[in-house]
Amino acid sequence: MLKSLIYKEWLKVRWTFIGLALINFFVIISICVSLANAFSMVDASKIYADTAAMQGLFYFDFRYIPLISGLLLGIVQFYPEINSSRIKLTLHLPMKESKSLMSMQLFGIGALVLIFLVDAIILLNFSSKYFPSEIVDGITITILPWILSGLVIYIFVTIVFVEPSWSRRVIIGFTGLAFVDVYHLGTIFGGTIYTYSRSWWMFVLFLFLISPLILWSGNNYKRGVK
Amino acid sequence: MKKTLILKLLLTIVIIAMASIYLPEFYWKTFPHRYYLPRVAYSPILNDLLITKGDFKKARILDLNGNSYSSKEYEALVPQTAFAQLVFIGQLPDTVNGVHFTVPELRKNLFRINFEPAEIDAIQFLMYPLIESKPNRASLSFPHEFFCIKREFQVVDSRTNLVLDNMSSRYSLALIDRGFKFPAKEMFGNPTTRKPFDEGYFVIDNEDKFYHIKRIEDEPFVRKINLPDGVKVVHMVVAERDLREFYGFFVTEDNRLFMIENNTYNLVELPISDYNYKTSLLSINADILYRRVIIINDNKISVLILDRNYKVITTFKDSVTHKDETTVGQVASFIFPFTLQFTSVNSQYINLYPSINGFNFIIVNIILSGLFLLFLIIRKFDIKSSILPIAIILVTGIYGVIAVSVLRDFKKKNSTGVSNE
Amino acid sequence: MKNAVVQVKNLTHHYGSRLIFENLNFQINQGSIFGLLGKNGTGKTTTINILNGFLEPTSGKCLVFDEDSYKLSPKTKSRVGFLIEGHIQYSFMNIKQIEKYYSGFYPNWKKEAYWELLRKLQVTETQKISKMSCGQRSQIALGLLLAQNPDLLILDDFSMGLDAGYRRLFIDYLTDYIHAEGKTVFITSHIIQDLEDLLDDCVIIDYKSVLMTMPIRDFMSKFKHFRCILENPPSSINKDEIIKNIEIIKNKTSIYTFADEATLLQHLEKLGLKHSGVQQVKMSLEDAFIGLTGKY
Repeated sequence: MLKSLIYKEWLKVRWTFIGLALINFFVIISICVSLANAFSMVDASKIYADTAAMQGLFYFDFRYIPLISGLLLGIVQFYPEINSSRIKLTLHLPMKESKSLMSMQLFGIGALVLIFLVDAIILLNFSSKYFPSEIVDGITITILPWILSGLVIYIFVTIVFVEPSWSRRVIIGFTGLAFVDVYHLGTIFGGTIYTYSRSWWMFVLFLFLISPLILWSGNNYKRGVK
Repeated sequence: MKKTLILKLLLTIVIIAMASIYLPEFYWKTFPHRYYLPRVAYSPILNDLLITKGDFKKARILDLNGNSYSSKEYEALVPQTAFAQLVFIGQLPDTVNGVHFTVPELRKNLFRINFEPAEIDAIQFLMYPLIESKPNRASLSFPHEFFCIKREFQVVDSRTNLVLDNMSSRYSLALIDRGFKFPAKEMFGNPTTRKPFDEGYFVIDNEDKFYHIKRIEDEPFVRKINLPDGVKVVHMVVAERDLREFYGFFVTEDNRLFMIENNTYNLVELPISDYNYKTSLLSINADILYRRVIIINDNKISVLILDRNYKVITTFKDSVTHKDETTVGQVASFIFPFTLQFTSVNSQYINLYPSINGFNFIIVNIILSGLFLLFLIIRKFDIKSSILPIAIILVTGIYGVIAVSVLRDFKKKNSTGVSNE
Repeated sequence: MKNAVVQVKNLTHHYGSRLIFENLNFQINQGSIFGLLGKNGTGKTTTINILNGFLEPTSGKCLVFDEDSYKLSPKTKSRVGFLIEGHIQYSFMNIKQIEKYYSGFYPNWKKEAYWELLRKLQVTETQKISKMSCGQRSQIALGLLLAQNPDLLILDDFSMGLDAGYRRLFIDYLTDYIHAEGKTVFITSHIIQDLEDLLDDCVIIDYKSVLMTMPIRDFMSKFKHFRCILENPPSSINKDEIIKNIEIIKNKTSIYTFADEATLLQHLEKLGLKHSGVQQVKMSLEDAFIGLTGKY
């Protein structure tokens, strides 16, 4: 049954998934290229000094990529479900409703994690050719919240889409935007630089807190709250 | 049933958390508040303090006897800092209090050193450049070697990204020789070449001992600095200035301020009070005649005027209305039961910074839960089954109202179903 | 007592403060075809949603295979086939994909039933459902239901958007399926004429109330339409126990009743209405439905 459900999710998102993967890898490769160029043109010590202080100078291009990926995947995956109440078909399947909703969401999270993991592996491996592990660790802490924010927005899209009441959708949508913002406090342009190095684990934990909320909106759907 | 309760509580927490971050933030952005604390100077001519009060539009300059001065008069009274303007109008005195005034000397002596909480609880540099302190050139040059002090002193060549084993072990051994315990807890220095000379780094080792480390003619220089008993360094500002009076200033865990004298490594304590390194702003404002230490805690200012030998001349304390005591602050204390922040002005680390401001909010919370109760009664909802939402509003006030309006978990009397609106 | 597949007891539902229906009671026995008839907006889809667990009723009970319909177990759900109003299916799939998808959920999946139906359509295997006509989509939805082979079929307004040919095709297959082996069907429709030969039992609901619940054969034989001419017809005559509905156009009067002719005539005399030319009129199910619920 799970296999069938995954098959359906895959049919929905496959082209989007491939497109998003391409965009992600394009951005990652271009960051790697500009990093390589910088090392061939500028004195390496200057880049070291800047990167050591800024924790990820070359990576701002990547900042909103996970966010866009999560948003698009969520919409592509869940819009067909709520359009004409197709989600009734899913909830009617001989499966526990909570299981089918969670599986759908976990499928999306898995797809995003797959893309982001490849992103991170390429980026960090390439970086470690030029930078010592101390700096690479710093880069990891810089890009981790960006990646997590992609998952956060995805989870909120799933919650908002399954939720049947418009007024609730609006408040939960705003809550979601606020939640995403919390993952982008790291660098405020022209202001102070903040780091997640002491609290990143907390922001990973938050994912587990918000993910099951899809069951709450699923429950509202079932109760017929309009 | 239990599962849905957990989900509801989870959602309530998420909504309340977000509301308690962004509602107060939005509120204070709409009604911003800043403190106009007095600016304090010491006049060698009056031998007294001069206080500038008010905001920049209508500043008033007064002495302690209440005489007021124009800004032109003021400049003539503080030639040690206003010398540029006095030179411009040709009125710079030759000597003041027996000190000869020349522009290069005045300029050399004029500087300011800041201790800000966010710079103390700050992001550590990941690697530091190992700058040669005695270059065989006119100016400093940026090195290819970067280092960090973890299990050992590790030097990396930025051109190859390879560890320089030989150099690493030379520096490690030099440190071990002086009793250094790895890893370093913190390092202070200015990793830049835009300074007249280089004094390397001041390092706290794993046992809170304090060391001065630099690279001289490509060899390690290590010197242990003797600290008074029980003194733990929290933060140091290294100041490579042509004055060469000191290496820099440091503050300690028990909120004391010291200067490290150049060459001798003698420690000179500055007798400050009202300082807390976690929250206060501290600045050392130097000129050819005095050292002014200014400590600011929100709405309070505390000033210490010292002579060049760091002996106290006079002190000054003042305060303005606190943010929370203004109308805007009072309103906030009523409507916001608490505030959650992930960033703090006192730190560069993102973390949970909850704060609570008095208990005025209880009144508003009671009113809000009363209104909610009224709503339940008018719409004929069952009160008993709405205990949880009432409690949420009672405790979390305006944030709880948002959460409850999303949950909408009210039941009609004598029914198993749920109100669907 | 026969095996009850669906039991609806004192079902009441409100949307906010708006009452949809109150104290709905009926039972669907195994092997019967049950119709829920009512005009638009009388709560047909609401009932279907409650029956499928997509709505928690304000009060009352709804049992499907003896389980609370709001909390059906996966096993029971696999025994229930559900056609959403408008033959909605996953339109991003093609014919082959959707069959593959659903076959994973039902162990007794009858692939042939689906393909038999689909072969009749002028479509290729890889054609996307979104690019098909409403009639073609109805065949896919039906094919999937037949392949699922459920014990209880719930059809929400199957005739919606279908032309006469597809409607007939749908009914033919349905009849075939029902006669196979003790299957139970629950149907709502706003096109009554299709259902005449199909239904065994039915409930007719009106705004906020249930008009009648009985086997369709009883309904058709007991519910009568008499035409007569009333002298000096009053401007209105109240409905009562005997006169279920009355229409007066000038002095030509139509009276709908469950009573026999003699009782009716007696009743009219009691009311002091002089009449002549009483004559019973034959009715189709649709006529009877309109007769009972009124034209408005």
